[in-house]
Amino acid sequence: MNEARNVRMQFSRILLAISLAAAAAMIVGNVVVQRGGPVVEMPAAFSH
Amino acid sequence: MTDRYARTSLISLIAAALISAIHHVLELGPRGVMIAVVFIAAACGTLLWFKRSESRAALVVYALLNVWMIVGFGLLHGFVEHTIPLLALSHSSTSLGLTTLMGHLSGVAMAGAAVWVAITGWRFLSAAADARAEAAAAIKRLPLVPAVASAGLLAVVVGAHAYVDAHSLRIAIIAPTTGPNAVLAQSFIRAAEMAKEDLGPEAERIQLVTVDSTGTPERARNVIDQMFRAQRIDAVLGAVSASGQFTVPHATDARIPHICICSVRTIGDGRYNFTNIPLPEDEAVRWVAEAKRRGTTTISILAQEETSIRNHADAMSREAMKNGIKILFDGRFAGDTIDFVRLAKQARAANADLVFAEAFPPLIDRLVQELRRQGVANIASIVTPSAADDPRTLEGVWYTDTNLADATFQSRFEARFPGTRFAAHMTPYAYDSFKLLARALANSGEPAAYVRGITRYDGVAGIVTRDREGGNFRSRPAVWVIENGKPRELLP
Repeated sequence: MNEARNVRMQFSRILLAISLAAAAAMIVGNVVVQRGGPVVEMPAAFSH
Repeated sequence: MTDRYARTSLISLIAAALISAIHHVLELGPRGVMIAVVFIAAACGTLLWFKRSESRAALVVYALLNVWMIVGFGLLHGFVEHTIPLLALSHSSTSLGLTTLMGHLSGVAMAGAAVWVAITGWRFLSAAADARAEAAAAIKRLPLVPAVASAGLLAVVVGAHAYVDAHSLRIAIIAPTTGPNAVLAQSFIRAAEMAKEDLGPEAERIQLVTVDSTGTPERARNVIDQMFRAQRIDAVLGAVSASGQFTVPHATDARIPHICICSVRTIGDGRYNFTNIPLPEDEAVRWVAEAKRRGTTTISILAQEETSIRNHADAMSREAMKNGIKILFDGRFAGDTIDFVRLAKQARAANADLVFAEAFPPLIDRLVQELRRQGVANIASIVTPSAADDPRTLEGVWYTDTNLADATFQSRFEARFPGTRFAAHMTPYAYDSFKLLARALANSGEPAAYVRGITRYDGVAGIVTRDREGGNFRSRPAVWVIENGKPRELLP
């Protein structure tokens, strides 16, 4: 009985872990995409 | 209890999807509706799946949908891309069009809704995860009303969007409005706003769409591509050649006029794309004429390694040699140069009549200060002193810049927009070009053909001309000097 309960308890932790991993992946993915281009500032307003 | 948790979680997800869809309709056009279609269907479907099967997989999918909404739409888009910029804008003098404001506010609402999704989603999932059978049994009936109401509301939003779209003409203003030179780009946008106001009823239907091109070239290209994908644009006014080059293919595809306030000759093709600011050779001719008038026979050059400055320095150097002026020293330096002692000493040692110094702020300030320290008295430049961080450090430096033929223009601008620094270099051309584009749109024929037909006009920057086949509107700059810490037009 206790064992079954432990197995059941585990699922909420698994779900939390999956959610956190997905959240982290989205944030990291976003940072990679944002920084993906060459890191060169656009010329300023007066640059023609 | 679990039934109530499931219902509030689903309702919050539907509400957040609805807000995200409205936000994306404003940002991307009608295809933004897809977000609501996908989210609402997926959320209802997954909960129904869970209710029937008590499946773990259904809860995982439902949790991932929540994460997508919370992190993707709420945090990364709503908070990072809209809430923070809105807060930053509220502390700056940046002008905020209605479209931009609506976009940011709906983005903030999206971030807020995501917080609600996080709370309700957490409550439901933590209650259901370890007691799936009980939770599935507890869920009675999924709420249908919010889903149907969302569909109705979205239809109204898309309809209103289509109505406004059909009744307005859009001129896109592309400028780096938030970077280090935001203050000067603001002058550019204000010029367009002022031109629209001055045109009165003629420009009533015209809507300004401001696009911020600050950042990497990659980012500038992305925002420009996104703008053209999202909505119909009828004409473009651009501020910088680097973003102008990304606009050229779009203007050509859409057959709309694009005027770039930039001096890169090749951007103007004479068909859909035009430039409107003196070309480097126009600056060079005026500059050398002034140098000769001052009795200059020898020059030293100190110029930053950057496309537009290189073009100025090279054109000036060619024109000077053509006029018998000798170049005694030519030093170019990178944009990250900090110490100018060596270069200033070399320029001093060459002992030329005049030192030509051109760099973007804050380099121009530092360079001139160092030249002064080394005892160089005669310094001249092209354009950049007007953008100096502190013009007082450039006292006595003369340079070529826009001819403000309409003497009242600057005072009208400053009275209209107190607190916005007037950038003499771009503002008059932006003002005239916006009027040109607005008239082209008001004209019954093809707007680009109207611009092609203009070969001469008398604007706030004097007489501007263009070869019939050419893509460059040309004009004659004036000579300016920094006097009492302020730029003053010396000679037209």
